[in-house]
Amino acid sequence: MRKDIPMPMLVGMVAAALVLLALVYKARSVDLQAHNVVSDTLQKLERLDSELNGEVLRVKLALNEDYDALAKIFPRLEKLEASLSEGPFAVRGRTEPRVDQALDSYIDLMDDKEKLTERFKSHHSVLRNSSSFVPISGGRLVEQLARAGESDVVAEVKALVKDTLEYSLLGNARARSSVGARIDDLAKGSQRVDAVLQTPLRDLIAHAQTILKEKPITDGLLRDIIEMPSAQYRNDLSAAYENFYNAAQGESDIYRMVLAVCTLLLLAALGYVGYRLQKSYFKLNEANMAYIKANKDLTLRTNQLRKALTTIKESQSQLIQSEKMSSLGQMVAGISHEINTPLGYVTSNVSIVKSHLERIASLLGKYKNLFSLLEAPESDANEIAEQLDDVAKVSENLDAEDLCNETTQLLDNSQYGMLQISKIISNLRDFSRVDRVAVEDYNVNEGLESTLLIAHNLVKNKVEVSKSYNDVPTIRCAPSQINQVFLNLITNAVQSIDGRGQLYLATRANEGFVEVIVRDSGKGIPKDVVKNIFDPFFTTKKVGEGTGLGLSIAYRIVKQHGGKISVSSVPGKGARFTVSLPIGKPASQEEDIALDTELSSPRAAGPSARGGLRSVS
Amino acid sequence: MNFKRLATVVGGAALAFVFWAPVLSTTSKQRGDEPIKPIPLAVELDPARVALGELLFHEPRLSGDDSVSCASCHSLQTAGVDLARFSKGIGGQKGGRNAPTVFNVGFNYRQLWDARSGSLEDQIEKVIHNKKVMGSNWPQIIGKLKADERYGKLFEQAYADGVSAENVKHALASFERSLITPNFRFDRYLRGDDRALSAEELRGYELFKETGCISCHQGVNVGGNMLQRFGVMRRLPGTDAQNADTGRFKVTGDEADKFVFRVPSLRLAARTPPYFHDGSAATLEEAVDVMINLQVRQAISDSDKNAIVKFIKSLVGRYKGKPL
Repeated sequence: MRKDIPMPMLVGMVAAALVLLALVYKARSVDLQAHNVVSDTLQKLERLDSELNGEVLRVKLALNEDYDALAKIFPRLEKLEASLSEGPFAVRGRTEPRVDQALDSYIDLMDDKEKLTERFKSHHSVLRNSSSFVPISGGRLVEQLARAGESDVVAEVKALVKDTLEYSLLGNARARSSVGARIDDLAKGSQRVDAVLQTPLRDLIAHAQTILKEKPITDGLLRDIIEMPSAQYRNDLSAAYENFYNAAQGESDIYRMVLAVCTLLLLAALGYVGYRLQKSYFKLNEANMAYIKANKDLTLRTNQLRKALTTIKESQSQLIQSEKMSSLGQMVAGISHEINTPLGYVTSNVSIVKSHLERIASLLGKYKNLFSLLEAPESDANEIAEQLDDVAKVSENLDAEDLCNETTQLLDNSQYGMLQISKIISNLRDFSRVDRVAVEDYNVNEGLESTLLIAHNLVKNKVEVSKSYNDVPTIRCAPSQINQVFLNLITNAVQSIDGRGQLYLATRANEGFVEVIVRDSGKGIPKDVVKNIFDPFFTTKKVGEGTGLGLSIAYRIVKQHGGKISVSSVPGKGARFTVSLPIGKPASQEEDIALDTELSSPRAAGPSARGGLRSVS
Repeated sequence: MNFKRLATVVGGAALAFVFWAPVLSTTSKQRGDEPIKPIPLAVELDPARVALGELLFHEPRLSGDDSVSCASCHSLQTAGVDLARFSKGIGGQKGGRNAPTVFNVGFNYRQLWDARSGSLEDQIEKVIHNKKVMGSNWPQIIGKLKADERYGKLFEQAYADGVSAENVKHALASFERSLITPNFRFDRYLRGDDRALSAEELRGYELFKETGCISCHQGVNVGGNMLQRFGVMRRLPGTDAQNADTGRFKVTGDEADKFVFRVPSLRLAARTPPYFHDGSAATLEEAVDVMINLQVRQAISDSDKNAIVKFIKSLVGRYKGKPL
């Protein structure tokens, strides 16, 4: 089957299948779950960022007392960032470079933000410390200074504390420069102060300086942190991702559409193929129906033919029968005439003898009377004399001796006549050989002679028969059939002669065959007829005069015996039939001969030796 | 008193109040507004993994020469440290920094003195590969663990995929997270038990806050959630030395990060001398001195210092019911 599909078509089909698979692969929708997770993560990042900003502000505003909340934000941030970079719902490497870049930028930015936040924590602590230290220790110092009577320094310190507080609250330039100025003044003035109070004063100054240093740093850090474009970077990332996603979705949508179109085309193609198949099926069905019908018709025809054959066979048999009957009739006509002749004179002889015997019997009666008179003592001489006269008279009339001689002759003639009859009968039996086995040894000379006897009636007074028999070996055949052939040939020969003619019969042995020649001086057979004479039902006789089967049967019989029959003729001069019969035959053919009843002719004897109509089954 | 002075004092007090008002409130039963938060009483962890982690914590085969386990430097018997200035790694090599306590380590936002480990698992990873400490690698460790049937079974019970580097780290980290010391006396105070602290300790706490220690040592772990320069107000001595430990600068290379370290937790400080990254302070008093000197720069009387030390001591809690 496979070699019925041509190579290009196979390649085309494989290519189509691959294309379809590729389309299916491309058309698969972008992982919705992954998309949802990523969108969710981006949202969480946004919230976390707000939380971060909020925590930083809370720290700044001292709403948070500790940095735990702020510190915990970054591990959470890292986790979210990691989920975008690696793992099942990662975005990195799964989308497009633009998205990866945006992700990297965002992560770097958030790292920076973290650094700033760390710094902020550190600096804020310091600022806070100093901010709370300055007023408290400032207050204490003021007390101590007051007790020490350093009222100038006290005023300076107070001013410093006030300005420092103002600066640390407002961060304005005026306060800053004022603080700076106060620090300078105090630094100079600290020399005058008591040694014990030097340290706390210097501590105070140090803390004020710290505030000056740390406040801008802390404020700057806070501003940087809040102002970090994390939202923008995140939006960039989100936008890039969404773009990619939408594009991917769009792409897969297109592929899905293409796939749908291809599928439709495929379905259409399938539909078309189906339609064609259906049509073929119908055609096949029709053809099948026609075939079945033809088959039925054929069967019908076959039956008809078979019937016809049977009829023909019957007709054949009937015709054969009637041919047989007609030859039989011919034969019977001849024979009955032959038998009638001796039967006639035997019958008349027997009646003559019967009348003679009656006369002799009466004479004997008279003698008997005389004798009894002579013997009896009481007999009268007159009576005896009368009786003697009677006897003498009758005896004179009846020439007893003559009568007896005649009777004997008549009886001899009758015996001869009955012998004739029995000969004829025995010839007939010989001819038909019904009381013998089908195949036996046979001498063609004897056969010809028997046949001549049978046909004697036809032959005598019409045809002069000349014979030229040679010594021929016996052949094995069905004698009745061969005799039938000879009878048919002889009959035909005689019937072909108008008026008087000659019949020549010859036999001889020739190269394993025995040849029998039957030649007549009849009107011969025309050239256009000669080829048909062995055909069944072919006859030149008028309707009712012949069946046309004789030669055909003869031909078949000879053929069955493994022999040949041929004819040559000169129209107007006569015809010569030659029958060759093989000497010694294989046993198998003997069955054929015994059983067969079918017709054959040279032309109809096609491929089989038996020939004839083969039955159609 | 003139009006200006009064205004100053009041202003200062107001400012201080703005900063510290919630802190100083002692009226609430639950002291949820304190800058120090109580340790949660329990942490949810998988018991099988914690048990496995405990085994691994004491497993010397995690080191290259099978001599050093986590417990060698962070012994649970000695408050999670080894009480040495520098710990000894494999081959007896001396480490460069003092070993911090392993207790309550789950509350630190980052690990290691220079905060370069973002997670416990990461710290384990670094320590395992540190040639001076454990000097090992995963294939070696996995091989040794797999050879031990006991570990095979335990890993299979605890983790779906048996023995693996991830699971070893996770088990160890689970165990470390389970090392909490809740319900310190101070924690009980935070939870509202006024009688948990003595008056001196309470005064120490107030001083702790006033002095400003609280700025960095805050949160649930009393520290451990931020970085700070060691030497804010005054420069750290020895900072000019060539091989001075510059802390975070070594990690970031940023000048601003010189001598910046992670603020350590003071929870078990009373039990884990010596102090600082280089173990340079042998006693708590010394450490407090250094801190006050360098970080807060305030004059503190000795009795105040003692009170602060007493407060710090009150932070020590119990592990599995036993005081450390």
